[in-house]
Amino acid sequence: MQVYNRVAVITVQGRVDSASSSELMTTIRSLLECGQTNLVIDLGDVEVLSSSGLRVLVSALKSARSAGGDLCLARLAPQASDVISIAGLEPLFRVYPDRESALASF
Amino acid sequence: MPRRCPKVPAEPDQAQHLGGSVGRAAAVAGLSRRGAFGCQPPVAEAGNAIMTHGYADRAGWIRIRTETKPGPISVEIEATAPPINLATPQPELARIEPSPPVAGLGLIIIHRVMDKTVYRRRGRINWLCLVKRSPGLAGPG
Repeated sequence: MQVYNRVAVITVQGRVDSASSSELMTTIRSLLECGQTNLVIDLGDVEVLSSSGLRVLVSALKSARSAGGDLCLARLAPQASDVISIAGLEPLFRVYPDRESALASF
Repeated sequence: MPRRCPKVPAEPDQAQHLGGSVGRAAAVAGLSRRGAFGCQPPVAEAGNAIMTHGYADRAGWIRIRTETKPGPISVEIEATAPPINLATPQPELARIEPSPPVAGLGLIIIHRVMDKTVYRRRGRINWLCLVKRSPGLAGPG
């Protein structure tokens, strides 16, 4: 996790499934509680994104916006992109090809 | 030709392996790479749902049987968990914003990918069949 000005970038690696998604949610929740409400989730190195991971992303998006911030996704790995599309959640998230453009969107 | 995987323990980390085995079977049967890969998420989600919500903390097993033909691919999932019906139709995500769904995304994935979902309770065994008709999946990819 890295912080650039007002935006925190969380780099997610490996599998985001029922076993690991709670750790991601804890990290995000900690940032929000510290007032870091603008978030970039870098999914470039994700191998598997399950519905549990999607649930964390959706919950985090809602929480960030409720706190006056926002959340976007960067560098979607192919599997993550496919699962988000399959679940019909593409319209929900702002997605950027790289971290720089994601950071610049805030 | 049907391909039956051995029983695996009903543990959440097995769900992705179930999906992967179906993807490999589909690829061997000649589905395009994208088509074969596309079958993995719904099978993994079904397995995970059975393990998490069916078995909960109970011990048990889950087994899949994959049948591929020129055209449809069917995946049969068996488990001795308490009754859990994943074939319940899901509402369309007609409007996601401003309040997107948080729960039930696994079922949405299953029903959006697979063309047919059938559930039966056979004695003490849950039997779930997922069918994907693949007119657009065969061929190089």
